[in-house]
Amino acid sequence: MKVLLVEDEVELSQNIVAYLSTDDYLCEQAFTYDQAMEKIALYSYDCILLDLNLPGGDGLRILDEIKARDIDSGVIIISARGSLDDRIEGLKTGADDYLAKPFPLPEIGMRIYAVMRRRKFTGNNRIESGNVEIDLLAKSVAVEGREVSLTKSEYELLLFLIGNKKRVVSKNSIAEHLSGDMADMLDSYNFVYAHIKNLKAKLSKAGSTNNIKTIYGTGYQWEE
Amino acid sequence: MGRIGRTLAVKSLTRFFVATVIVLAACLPLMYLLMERYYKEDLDELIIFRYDDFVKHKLPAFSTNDIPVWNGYNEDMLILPYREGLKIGEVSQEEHYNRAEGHEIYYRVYYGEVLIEGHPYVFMSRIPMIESKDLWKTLSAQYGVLFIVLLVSLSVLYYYMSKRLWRPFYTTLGAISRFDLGQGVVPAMGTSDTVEFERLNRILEELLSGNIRVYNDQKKFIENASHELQTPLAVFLSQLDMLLQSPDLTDRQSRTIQTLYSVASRMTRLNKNLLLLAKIDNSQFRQREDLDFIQLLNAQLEYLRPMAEDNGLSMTVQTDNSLIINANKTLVESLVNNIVVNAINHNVQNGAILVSVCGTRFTVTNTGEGTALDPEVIFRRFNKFTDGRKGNGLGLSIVAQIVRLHKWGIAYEYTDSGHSFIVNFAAENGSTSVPSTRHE
Repeated sequence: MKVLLVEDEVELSQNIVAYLSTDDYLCEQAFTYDQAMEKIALYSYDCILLDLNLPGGDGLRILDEIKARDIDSGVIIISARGSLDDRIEGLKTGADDYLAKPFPLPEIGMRIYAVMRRRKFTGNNRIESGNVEIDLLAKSVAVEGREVSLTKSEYELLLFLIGNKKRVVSKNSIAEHLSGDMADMLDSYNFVYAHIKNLKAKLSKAGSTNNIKTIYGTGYQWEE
Repeated sequence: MGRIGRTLAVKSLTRFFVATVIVLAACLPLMYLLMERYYKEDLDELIIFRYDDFVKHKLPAFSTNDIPVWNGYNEDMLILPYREGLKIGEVSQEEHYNRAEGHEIYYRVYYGEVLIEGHPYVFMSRIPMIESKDLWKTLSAQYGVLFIVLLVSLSVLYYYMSKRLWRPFYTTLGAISRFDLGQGVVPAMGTSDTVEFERLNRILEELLSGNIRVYNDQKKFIENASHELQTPLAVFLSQLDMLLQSPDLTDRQSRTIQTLYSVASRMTRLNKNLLLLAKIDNSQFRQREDLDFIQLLNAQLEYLRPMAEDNGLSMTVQTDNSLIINANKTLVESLVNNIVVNAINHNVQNGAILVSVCGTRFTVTNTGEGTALDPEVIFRRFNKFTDGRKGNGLGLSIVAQIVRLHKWGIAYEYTDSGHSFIVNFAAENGSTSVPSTRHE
């Protein structure tokens, strides 16, 4: 799967690429407005991650160009602007998602995963990982056909882990993913721990062969 | 301010009144002296005239035999034998016995020399003075009436004149009392034809517009600074996320990473809230709509309730059916989140939270430490109760700022059931005042 990352902050760009490359993503980078325009004109991508503040031009104009050329790529805006107006404008212009900086890398992994899923598997709303099967429409989870009853948070957590499979996700990113804007107001590490513990127990009781690996209490990893 | 102040009008009128009373009262002895003097002059003229009249008309035909008869009829014009030591030819004041009064009183007396049949005699012409007691009495009665008329009319005059004179001052005072730095508008002071007031107005206008400029720069600076911090924070966080991917992390390294995550998370939320505050200050949330607060509250509670329960707290919700308010949706969501999260953060183990909407009052009560908080301080940015590990010291100031922006009211109460924060959506310019956020 080809991803174009348009981001002028080199360090951040490298980290995003490094994080995504552990999965089967092929990442290309553009650091300026002109580079981005050039790449869009020459190649096609499944997903484009787009920063709005770029040297040489406004990222929203790149988005206009993508739409004008009728390029069939998922677009996720990553921006430090973060205000509601930009968010609305970005989504109106046709972006699939919007992420405000700073964000945890697993969050972007999850967003790309979701955008890809929506675009690639239309009609197919099932995700399988090992012997765990998720029905995205019914929001139900089954292990070898036996339904596992999960709370809303546990379900979201499972999707988040699978969306970032093979990579370690931090407690920090889980907390932020599960409680959105409220995560940063709460001391939420305890409740992440509690959710992980419950999810693990429910899955293993149902006979799942998958395992949620704990990395010294700092992060978690979904092993297929 | 310990002393109860008085208004300018009352103060100046009081002073004017006292001063006038003193001046008018001091005039009374002066009046007395003047009266006495002119009275004496009058009397002196009269007694000298009587002497002259006697010399002119009576003396040529007067004999020494006539003296006892004359003296018998003229009590105040006596012909006496000449003796040395009398002040001849000038008026003096002497005490003589007065039969009518029955005691000695003051007389104006004039001694004139007369020659009767070749013998020297003295003609004494005298007239009794008005008794000073009587003069005082008369004078006081007359002057008293004048005194009161003067005092009242002067005071009334003074009151209206000073009121007129100070009118531009009160206009200015009213204008600046309505000044709100956050609104960023210099109030119209009006103009005055009094040089000093005109100067005051111009100086105040300059001062206020200067303040607004500095305040705006400051706000813009905070917003820009927070913006600029977002990218380095994003880099920092992504580095941590990458570090976590290393397959051979030791326990110790993990712990360090976890600490860094906590710090990054605190920085992020601090920055986000600073940005939000700056944006509220910069009035970037002008858009208002009619929305159902109950509906919005329930939507937020869907996230907040599990959070409270995850923290081992029980949450009770009591609401009416609907409450329509005109507000900015994003900000109202933020208000609800901040108040409820505050109630979660500052709770006790197995504590409780009561969320209720009654009429136009939105109340969140939580169990917590058993001492009341200082309502003067809790809404300020980074107040002394701020505990870095919980919240960021900005939650309640964000709430206060949102309340202020919408001209609602907010109050804090501490009762047996715990700490309550009450937002009153109807308190447009109302009773419960919003503490203004101080920038420290």
